[in-house]
Amino acid sequence: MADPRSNRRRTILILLVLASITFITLDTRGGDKGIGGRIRNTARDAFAPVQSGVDDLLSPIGDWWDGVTRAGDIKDENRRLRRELQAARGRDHAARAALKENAALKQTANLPFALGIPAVDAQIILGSPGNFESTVGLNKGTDDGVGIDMAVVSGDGLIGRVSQVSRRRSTVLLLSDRDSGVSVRDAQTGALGVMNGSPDAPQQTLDAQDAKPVMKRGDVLVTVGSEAGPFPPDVPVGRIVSVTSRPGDLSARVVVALYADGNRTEFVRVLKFPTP
Amino acid sequence: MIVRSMRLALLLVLLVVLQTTVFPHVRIAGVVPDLGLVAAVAIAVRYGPELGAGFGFAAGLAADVFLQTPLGLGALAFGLTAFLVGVMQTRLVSPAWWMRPAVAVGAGIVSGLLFIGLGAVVGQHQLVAVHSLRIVGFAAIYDGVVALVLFPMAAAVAKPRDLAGVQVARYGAS
Repeated sequence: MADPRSNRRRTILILLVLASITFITLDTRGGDKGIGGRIRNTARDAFAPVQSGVDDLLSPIGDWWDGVTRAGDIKDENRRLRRELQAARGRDHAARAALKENAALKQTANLPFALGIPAVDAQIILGSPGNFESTVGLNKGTDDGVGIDMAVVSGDGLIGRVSQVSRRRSTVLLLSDRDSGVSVRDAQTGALGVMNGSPDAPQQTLDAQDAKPVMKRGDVLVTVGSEAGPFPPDVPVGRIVSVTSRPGDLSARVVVALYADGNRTEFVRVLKFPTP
Repeated sequence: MIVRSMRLALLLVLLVVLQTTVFPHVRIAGVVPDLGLVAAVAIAVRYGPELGAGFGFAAGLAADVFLQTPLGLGALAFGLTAFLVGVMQTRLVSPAWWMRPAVAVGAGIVSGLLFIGLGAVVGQHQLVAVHSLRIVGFAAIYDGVVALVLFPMAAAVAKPRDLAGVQVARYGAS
């Protein structure tokens, strides 16, 4: 005679697997508009007020912890920034004069880039609750005009794109996420490349597509942009830290320091691009 | 029975709120613990694989809501892990105190590897990377740390009571 406890366990196990597979299938097939997407959005909206309240209450503790755990990083970064500042002061006076003029013109708007693109201002209120993705949560959703795939920028540059959105909340997939990819252009030489996310933010790597023109250390990378993609053209992405290539290689390995770190930013702007 | 279910539901809500609001701020080595998994494992150890798997499924599904990966992936990983731990652990009548974090670390590794493996099967190929193994390792250690608090807490919340209010004997113990 079969052991009733074994039978019960087997039934529970089968139910668990079947229910999970059903959810996975519904979510992957239906996308954001399917049943899975609706469950996700409803649950997020339901939790939103509680999350906001708890986050407001505990953010000072989070700031303190951030300072404790990143003290070493901050010192290193400070030293590095001092070195870079000294180097920057001594070069490219002519180019900087042109950049200054350009920046002065663009400062008539709040952002020095993405001019004329309608946008929604938002606050980053949540970090990623998981370990296998680089995301942040915004306090704005479809009710405020935020939509899937819209580009998200801060005053420093591109942060990522909206990957999930409910009525009152949205999730931004940061440039450092493995699922993230953006076509970039060397603002100085015009060389093109695709930067795929790697979790070791803020340093990212990209494969330069062309052997010539080349990308050089210190050059600024901006988005290529297209009407078909989420990113408008000429949004600053980062600065090239190093370029390595071996003789005969068709592409070079380029390490990039991102201008904007979504994990250390509070206010962002969601760009409604392409402009409706 | 209903009161016990409500207590477990409240525990689940509390863990989701902590996971999404508090722990993103207290990352250690870039990782957060899986609170739902640790609680499910605690329940599985104390009250058997059935209840552990059920709570693990619910906790994983709640976590999935806030992640990019498909809904149900975390539910499957958490549920299966809690089930496995429950099947193995009910043989131990009175485990030493250090078993709690040790079991949580082991469960964290199993769950992380299941998440990556099952994720790859359903198209989440970005999860398959050496970096992911580092994340699994650190997150499992963090799971072990929070287990010191979460194990007794989850076991107390899931504690059944008979009609006379006397605590029911521990699952599997005779």
